[in-house]
Amino acid sequence: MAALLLTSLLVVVALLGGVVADLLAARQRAGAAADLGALAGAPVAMTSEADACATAAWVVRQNGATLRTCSVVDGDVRLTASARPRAPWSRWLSQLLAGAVEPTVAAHAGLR
Amino acid sequence: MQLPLVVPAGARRPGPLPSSPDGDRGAVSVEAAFGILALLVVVSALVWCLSLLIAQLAVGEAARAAARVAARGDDLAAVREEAHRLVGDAVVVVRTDSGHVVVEVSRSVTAPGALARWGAVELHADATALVEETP
Repeated sequence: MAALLLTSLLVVVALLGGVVADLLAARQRAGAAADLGALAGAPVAMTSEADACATAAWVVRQNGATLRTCSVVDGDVRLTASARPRAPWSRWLSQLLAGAVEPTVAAHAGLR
Repeated sequence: MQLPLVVPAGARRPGPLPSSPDGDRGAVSVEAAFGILALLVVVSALVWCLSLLIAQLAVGEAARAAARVAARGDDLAAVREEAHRLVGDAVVVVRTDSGHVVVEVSRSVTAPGALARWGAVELHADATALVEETP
């Protein structure tokens, strides 16, 4: 009985660990995408905000994330990007537990 | 006045009971041994998964850092060196397309000791950056 209990506890711990790992990986992807997207948008920010955000959006998408917000303030591209966790059950579980599904990271870059 | 010591009929001398069917002896310790063995396997699997997570995050970080270097317009050698600085035994593939560069970092990890029979795990991460046009 105790063995059964311990085993199910370990299974639950392993599942939660998997969800945390998936979220951490998603957060890392969002961070890298935001970083590289802002970097790509910065040279264009001098000429056009729309172009800078379009460029950033393309790079963010190529890095497996989604551009959430984007603006240019004093030639500084400021954006947030979010990435979906890969496994469906971790999206489901993290929504159930935390109410949030996609880790979102902000980044900014400018040529000043 | 002393009562005479009466021993009921059929009583035996104190001491351990004559052993019951011999097969039950040590059943508890065998159970415990199996339990501990199973626990050991599960815990080492968990530790191995944790180390995989850390290694995967390192690979992702290497891809991102290398892509940053590539975005700066540095040459291929500098990009590779940046990835290798973060993950020593990584395999780095850099592809340049029109105006953008894709850095792919992968690494094959094998568990230590007896866990090695579970086979190697391939960790992989890529990052894309635009290359700044040099004026």
